[in-house]
Amino acid sequence: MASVDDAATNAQFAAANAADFPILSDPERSAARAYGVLGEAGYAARWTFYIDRDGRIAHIDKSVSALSAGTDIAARLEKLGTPRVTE
Amino acid sequence: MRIIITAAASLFRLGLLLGAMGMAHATSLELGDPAPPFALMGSDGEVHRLADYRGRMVVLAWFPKAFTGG
Repeated sequence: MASVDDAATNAQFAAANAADFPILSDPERSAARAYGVLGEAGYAARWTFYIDRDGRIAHIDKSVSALSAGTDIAARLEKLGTPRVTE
Repeated sequence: MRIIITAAASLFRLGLLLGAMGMAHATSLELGDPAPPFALMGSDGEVHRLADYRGRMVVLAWFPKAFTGG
């Protein structure tokens, strides 16, 4: 996951949610701008990008539900033919 | 006449506003485009570079703000 929050905030956020993946911080908003997610208020839109093994955009989900995001991502990865990797 | 000018000014402002809203997502990535490179600090204390994940599928899930419902 990624947001424009600073690293300390996202570290707390990850701990509070027991996230088993890194939450990235983009306080400079450079990546948010490059991905086209930066809105007027300076926050990122809730869009999920799937980047394939060659570093290309494989899918963009622009209607992400915060509630079902986890299962939605798993389903999308399955659809994209991604083998499950546990890390 | 004044009413017409006011209306025109309002429409002009609306146009500017809509234009600005369009600008918010001016960068539109298409499927198959190279994903923009990034190097961002992660909650695990490490810098994550997209290039480091070459050969693996990456899910980059943007969200607006921490502690606001995901």
